[in-house]
Amino acid sequence: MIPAARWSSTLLLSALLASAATAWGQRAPQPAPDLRVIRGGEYRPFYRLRGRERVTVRAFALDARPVTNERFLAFVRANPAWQRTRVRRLFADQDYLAHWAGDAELGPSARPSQPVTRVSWFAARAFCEAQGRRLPTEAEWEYVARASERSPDAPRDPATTARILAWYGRPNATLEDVGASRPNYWGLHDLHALVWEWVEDFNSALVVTDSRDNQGPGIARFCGAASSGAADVGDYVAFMRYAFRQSLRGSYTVRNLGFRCAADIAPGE
Amino acid sequence: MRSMTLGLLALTLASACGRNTPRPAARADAPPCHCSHDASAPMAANQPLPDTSVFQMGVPWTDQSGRAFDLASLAGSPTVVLMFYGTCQSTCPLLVRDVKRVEAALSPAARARTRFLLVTFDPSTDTPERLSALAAEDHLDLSRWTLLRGADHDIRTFATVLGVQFSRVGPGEYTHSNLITLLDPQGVVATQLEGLQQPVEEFARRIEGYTR
Ligand SMILES: [Cu+2]
Repeated sequence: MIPAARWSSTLLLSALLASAATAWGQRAPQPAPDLRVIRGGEYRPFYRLRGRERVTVRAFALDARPVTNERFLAFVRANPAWQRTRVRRLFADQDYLAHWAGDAELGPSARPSQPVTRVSWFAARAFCEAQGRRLPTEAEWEYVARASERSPDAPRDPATTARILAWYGRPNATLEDVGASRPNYWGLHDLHALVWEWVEDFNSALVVTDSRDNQGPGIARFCGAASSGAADVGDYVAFMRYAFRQSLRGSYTVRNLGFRCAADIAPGE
Repeated sequence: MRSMTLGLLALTLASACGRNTPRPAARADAPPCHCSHDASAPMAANQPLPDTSVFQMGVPWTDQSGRAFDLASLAGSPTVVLMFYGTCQSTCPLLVRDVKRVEAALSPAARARTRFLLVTFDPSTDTPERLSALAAEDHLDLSRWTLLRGADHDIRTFATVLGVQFSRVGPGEYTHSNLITLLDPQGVVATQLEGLQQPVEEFARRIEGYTR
């Protein structure tokens, strides 16, 4: 079997050449060595609506690693509206980048190669847009998170699960640098056991848990199919991800919540 | 099902306390806003909007007549906001009725100064023509009501600012929070109604305060 990383960088090169020809006219392809091309596919998600047992994901590209402090620093230098003391409260809470030394300075508590954390969804999204990218959707993120080192679809791979459970239980571990863990089948590092990651539709209405259920009888919180679904409660690690996302608001920042960016690729690539 | 997952979550969060699982749950019930503008006097037209104002999002919207609509034009008016979609067969019609209950609960003076916004989840189906037709079917007074559509990206932004959860589950079909929001005259989230056929007195009381 061809190692996943080499396979995907070959594909990536052709993807970039093709998209440069179609989307950007005659301009030279932008170097994007940190993106991995993800083949489209279908999977049976953790959370299933009645009559919609499978989710289809189209081919896309995804950052191989979470965004680092260093990259986010470059972003806030170029976009001062996203600096700690300038950001609007509507878009980031008071803990936004609180571990940095200053508006445009990392300091001793934020190494350049650590994943950036304490960033809101709005800030993560703005970062990706500034790179011509976007946040991955929940379906895309969950699709690649099913991969083990050798298989694209091994959501209950014992080694991965053990690593994630160990991470849950590690009290206040300091964040490792990005890329320290072995890549999965797609050539992606650190999907698990480093930071949680924002997705574009973290606030989808696919509800696996509802801490406000006990507020009173008869409060219909959702319209449509949300309440007709079923979650695979045996899949503990997926459950934790969905439950975590649903507890977030867009302006929240969390000590071990970061992100990575995705990009569209033209069909057929 | 629900109680089962709830129990499991309680268990997982309890066992995860202080560990590597972040704990935003304690904040999930915090008020969605800095609600310090309750019953304040109407703002001066040129006063800068607060940091938490939804009116300053700068997102391009289009109204039911196809014209560009800037949320900043709402500054000075308390605004009731509902996100919905026109082909919804489930709770959206009931939610529109709830917003109309708010409208009906107001004094004529307060009603005249309040704006009602319906923002669609489904811009591809809810064209300006469709939105106009919906307004006519529901007898919405377009001097107070505005029906808006925007790009999918901006709809997600707007929903996130309001704390509305939604997903597209199929062509022309969405699942979403049943949530009606009151924005104060500066565009800051003042209070929300969650669920269906909830009491509207609190909305009415606050709106009367803003417009007194
Ligand atoms: Cu609906």
